[in-house]
Amino acid sequence: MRYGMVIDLNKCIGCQSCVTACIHENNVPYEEGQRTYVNYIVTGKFPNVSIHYMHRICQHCENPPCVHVCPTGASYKREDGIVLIDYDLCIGCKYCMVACPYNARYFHPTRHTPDKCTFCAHRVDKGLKPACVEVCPTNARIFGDLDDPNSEVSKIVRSGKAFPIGAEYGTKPSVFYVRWE
Amino acid sequence: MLITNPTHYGLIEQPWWGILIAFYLFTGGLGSMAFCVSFLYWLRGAKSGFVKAGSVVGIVTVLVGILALVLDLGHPERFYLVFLSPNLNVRSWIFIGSTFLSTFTLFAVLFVAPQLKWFGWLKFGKKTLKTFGWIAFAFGIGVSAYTGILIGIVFNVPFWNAPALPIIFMISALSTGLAMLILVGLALRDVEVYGITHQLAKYDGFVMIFELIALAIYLLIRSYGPVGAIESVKTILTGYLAPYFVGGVLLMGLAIPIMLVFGYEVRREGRGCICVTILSAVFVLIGGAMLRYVILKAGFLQIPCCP
Repeated sequence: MRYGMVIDLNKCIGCQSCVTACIHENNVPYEEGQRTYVNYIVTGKFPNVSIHYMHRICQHCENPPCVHVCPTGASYKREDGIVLIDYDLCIGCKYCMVACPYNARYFHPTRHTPDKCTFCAHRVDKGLKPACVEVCPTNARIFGDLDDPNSEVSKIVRSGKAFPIGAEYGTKPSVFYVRWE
Repeated sequence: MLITNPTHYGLIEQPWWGILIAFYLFTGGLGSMAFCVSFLYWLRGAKSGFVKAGSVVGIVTVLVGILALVLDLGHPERFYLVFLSPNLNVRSWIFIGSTFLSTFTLFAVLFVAPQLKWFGWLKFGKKTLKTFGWIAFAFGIGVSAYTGILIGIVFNVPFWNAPALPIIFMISALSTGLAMLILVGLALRDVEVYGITHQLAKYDGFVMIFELIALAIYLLIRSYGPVGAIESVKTILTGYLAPYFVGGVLLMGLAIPIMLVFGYEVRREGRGCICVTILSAVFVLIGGAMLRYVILKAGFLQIPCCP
């Protein structure tokens, strides 16, 4: 069991529904930081310009640097591969934020601990999909079990269309991206 | 798609570790090295007033640094979880460093307390005292090494992720520790200690030359490195941190004290003016503090962007 996500950048229309759904579902203080966000990348020269969207989200690495550096074990990896923060154990040293190569964490202003994407673990435990996956109008975000050969995510990953980012860091991310064409 | 445009990768100046952590990196190294050098002088049978003052100043400096570390936490009241958390991660460098810090402080206090008159009732044999001193010495070396390792293992900040960084921090710790001891020795206003301070000032001159060489090689190699490191080197040499690095670290913290030591101090031989010694020691301290601040501030996170 290893939960993972495939983000199809070709299908993304940049509507920011995933971001909004995440903010709503997880009560994210969006003015201070977000659990996921969509970057705009503009390429080309006028009039031949094009815009691409790049999704930033916690990669739920198999080999997570944030977990390795955490002194109190507040950052931990569940059996199903989801990386979570135990807010009661966190002392707020911010080492995990510095160590994360994906800049996936932000500092929660009232909880005084880092916060990040949980793959909506509270929904996944109930058998639901993460909020961002649920609302995506073009199904650009696909969620599932990477270890299950029949799941949609593992089929896409096996087809060789989807790539991880920052693989050179050796973090073995669970989030894969389908490149824009 | 060929990715050459900076919009295709992310570089973020790390905003999370600021002045308090920089202050700790400075005081941790300074205090532990001040203690270690005092202990070496104790082994050589130096005047006990100097050893006592140097050790106490070293311990107090480390304690002030620990206070800064705790205050930087999001939850300072939970600091004990570093040792007592149920899911303790013993491979975290914060845990290892805290162990070094507390062991160092404990044994350094045990070493120096029996020598102070307030703790006269505490009596250890010379051999026990020596053992405590050696343990504190070993962990003191650990403390000064760990400050560089703590930020050196962060592989997504290529400017920090260099084997030379802990070495530079250790050399700088020794140099600032010596400078602190010079000030302490002069403050004692004891004619016999003046000889020691003169010796320390000369040692400091050589240490600073090594520091300058190590720093130059480090910056040279990092200036070819990944984009994040190139950006960091640019920022400290020509960017907005240049006044702090070029002016504060290179000129004030290294070049001027080296010139003062080799131009005046080595020829003084017990005569002449001690204000030059004081001035160079103060400059070394300011330069050491600036070095930690600049290196911490100039750390750029290099974030992979496109699949």
